[in-house]
Amino acid sequence: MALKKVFFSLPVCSSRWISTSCSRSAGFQGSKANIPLEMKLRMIERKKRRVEKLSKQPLAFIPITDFFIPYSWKMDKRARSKLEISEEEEDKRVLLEKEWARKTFRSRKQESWKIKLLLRHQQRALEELRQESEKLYNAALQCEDLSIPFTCRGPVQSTPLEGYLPPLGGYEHTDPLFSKDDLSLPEV
Amino acid sequence: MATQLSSRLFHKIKQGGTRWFYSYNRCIVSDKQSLSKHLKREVHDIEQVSSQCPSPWMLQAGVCLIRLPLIEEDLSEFQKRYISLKEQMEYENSILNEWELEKIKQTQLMNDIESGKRDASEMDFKVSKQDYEDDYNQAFKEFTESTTELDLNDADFKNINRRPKDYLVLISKQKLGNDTVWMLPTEEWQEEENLRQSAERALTSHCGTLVDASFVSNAPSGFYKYKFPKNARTDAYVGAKLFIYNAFVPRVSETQSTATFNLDIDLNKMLDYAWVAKDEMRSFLKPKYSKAIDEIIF
Repeated sequence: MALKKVFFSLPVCSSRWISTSCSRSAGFQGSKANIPLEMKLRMIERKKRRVEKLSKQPLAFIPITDFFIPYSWKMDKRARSKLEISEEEEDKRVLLEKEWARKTFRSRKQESWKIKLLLRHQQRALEELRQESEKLYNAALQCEDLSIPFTCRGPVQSTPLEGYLPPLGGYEHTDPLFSKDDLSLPEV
Repeated sequence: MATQLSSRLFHKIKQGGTRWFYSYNRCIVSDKQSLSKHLKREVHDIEQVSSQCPSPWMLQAGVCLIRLPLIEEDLSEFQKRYISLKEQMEYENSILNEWELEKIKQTQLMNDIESGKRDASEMDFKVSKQDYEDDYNQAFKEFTESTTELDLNDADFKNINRRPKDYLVLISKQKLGNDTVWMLPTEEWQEEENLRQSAERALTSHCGTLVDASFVSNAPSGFYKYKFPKNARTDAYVGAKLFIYNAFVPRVSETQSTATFNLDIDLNKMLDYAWVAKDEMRSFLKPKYSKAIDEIIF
């Protein structure tokens, strides 16, 4: 306690106290070595209560750290020898990329045009229906009894081989999903 | 009055490939204006008129039963080139993995042992990684993909698994007056049911109750208007307005869909049926009818 008083009496500006390498809540080294039993038990009980509080909360998922590149991968011995690419080859590659961009843009445009057509046909059908009867038109606009979310399995690459029997069984995920919180209690 | 309204309802002019102009009773509306705003005025007039004389169009609901493609389309030459380029670039920008590092170490070790820099006792492997790789490459060369695939009979129009890369639609042969006509399964709308229910009824009455199709919405997906042949026209009806509902056939396994139909000529109205792709529709259906369906199937 005497040391603490010395700290605060240092000539520092009270409005801007910048802490340096010393952490404010670090405390003193070896302060937990020789503690009377009662104090230890009290500390353990406090920790128990904190653990109970944590365990009531839902478990947190382990954060994904795939994007952290291990340091050993950045060493020179891991580097692949660079292939010499001629200028012609480079030009070809760039032109191929540009053509790809053009084609994907065009195919996207076609897809959105098809979707627009579908919507237009539906709009036209609804307007024709409205001319016939208002009641049917209102019934057509209802949102109940729809198969939403509509799930559909997509096409596969090839047909299965004749007489091929796939192996039985499913997949079991063995990765740990939840992070292990520090729920372990200290030893007395 | 009602017949005048129905005569030139839609006349579309394509300009520049992207803009559509609709003309309704000789007034042109651009697609940027909302059609419904324009038609709302007219609807008011029609309702006054229809209370005086009912519309001459019979309301029908039809089912466009679609079988989605089972197999992906083949990659084009350009796509293959681009994929190989991307793989090449990924390889060039990558780093060596553990297998390759081991391989380099082992080749270095063997060279040193041969040249005498190191002792032969340092060999910690019997089969080098390079030898493994050579074995794998050899096995790959000898491997032949078995080309026996499931027998898909593309010529049989009744086979639901024909033409696995295309979208197929079910069309049926029905009686229209004295003629038999290929068209979508249709049913006349009856009182106290909405159009979706009449479309579902069309499906069950033509194809039986064993077909498990999923309808997507309560609103129709398409529209087609036609006049009856002169001998079938009555005082009440000049023609019919067909509202088409899209329905999708579920997939049983990866490459199979099933839908079982009973061709009972007396009970069902379906004299014959066919699963038909877009390019084959013209040979079965009338050009305008096939165009009406063509753009509803994605």
